[in-house]
Amino acid sequence: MDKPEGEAHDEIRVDIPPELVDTVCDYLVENIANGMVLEEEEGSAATTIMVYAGEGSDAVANLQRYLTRLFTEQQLPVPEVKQRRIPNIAWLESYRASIKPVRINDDIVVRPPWAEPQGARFELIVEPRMAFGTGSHGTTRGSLASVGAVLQPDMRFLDMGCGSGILSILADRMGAGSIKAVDYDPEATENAGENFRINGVATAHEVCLGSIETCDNDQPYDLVVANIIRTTILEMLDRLLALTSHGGFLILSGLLPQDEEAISSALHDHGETSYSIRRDDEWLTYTVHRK
Amino acid sequence: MAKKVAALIKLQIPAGQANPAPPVGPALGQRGVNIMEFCKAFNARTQSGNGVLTPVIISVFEDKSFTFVTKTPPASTLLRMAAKVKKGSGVPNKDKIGSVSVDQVREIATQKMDDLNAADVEAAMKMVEGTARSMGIDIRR
Repeated sequence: MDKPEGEAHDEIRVDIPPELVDTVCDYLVENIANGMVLEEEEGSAATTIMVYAGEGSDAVANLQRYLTRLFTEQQLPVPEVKQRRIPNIAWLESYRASIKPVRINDDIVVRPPWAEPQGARFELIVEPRMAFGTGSHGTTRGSLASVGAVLQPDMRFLDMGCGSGILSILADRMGAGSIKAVDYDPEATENAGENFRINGVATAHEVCLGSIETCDNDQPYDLVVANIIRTTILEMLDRLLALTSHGGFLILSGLLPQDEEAISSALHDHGETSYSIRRDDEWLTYTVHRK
Repeated sequence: MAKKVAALIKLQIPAGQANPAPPVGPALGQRGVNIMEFCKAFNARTQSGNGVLTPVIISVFEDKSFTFVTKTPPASTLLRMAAKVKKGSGVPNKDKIGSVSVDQVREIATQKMDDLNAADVEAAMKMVEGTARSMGIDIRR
């Protein structure tokens, strides 16, 4: 899919009768776009399918040719493909405007730069862009609360899958000794760097583009956080544990109730039986106290 | 009091692969939905789906919070998987790209019964067969 920021997109719309919606969607996903929006207006017999293509693509001409063949064969009137250019800025601004301050607990508040200070001990400012971690999600809240519960001054802190960098910013405010923030998404590392600057992060820190391999030569950390998803966490659990010092803490999040058995079982397989689980909405956050 | 739904957004996106690029970004962003939170939740719930196209219906409430439900993959996707073909035919009446058995059609119809507006499995099978024909997939009887 195309990069969402800094350019416009062509929105392509076409009205399709119900019996051919699946077929046309299949064509679109195989040939034009990796996903689509479907609109069904009340009283309308047709479904409007919308896809987005980068500027200047020949998607409209290709789609119109395909529809002409398909609908002619089916002896149905050929629908007209419509196109309009939409600047990304419109929906980015709309999204940003929806972000409000979030109080995590008595001590921690997350807010966008334009919101008034909320009077919390740890006030974390996050510029909302296309990186995860603006404070309102159960996994972010759970991770922030868990970091707040175990982080001690001078701890070496690793933030694997840092997103907006929000957890690292809390670590800085709480007096971490060093911070390493890692994410495979360049939008995230860029946003994390921006948020570090906005918050005046003074702790020695590095922001790395990549994944667990960026830590291959690192000494163990006192506190490691991975707010990702089950499959990725299970894939890298060996390394995450190896990167957590004995007596240190590993915080795992991005997990749903159906993931609990697999995660708990994997921890037991590694001999790690000392852990607690924080639940927020439907989301689970593990805090593992390494042997 | 139950929250009032402000919009219903229907998307079809690959399981476990939602990201803020179109169509997710524009569809959700213009309604003030936290795009990254949706991506995180969708990917966590569908991570075992191996990237199969997955319909999702997102209910956006007036306070911009949201819930969503995922549906079974489109019949066209299931048919391609059953026929073991990569793409549907551009000229379905002339160029046949594969075939599925009646049992496979029944299996797909049964799997999709909850999502299809069909009275019974036989009616659902007719819909699935229609989709197969429009993709250039024959039914083996």
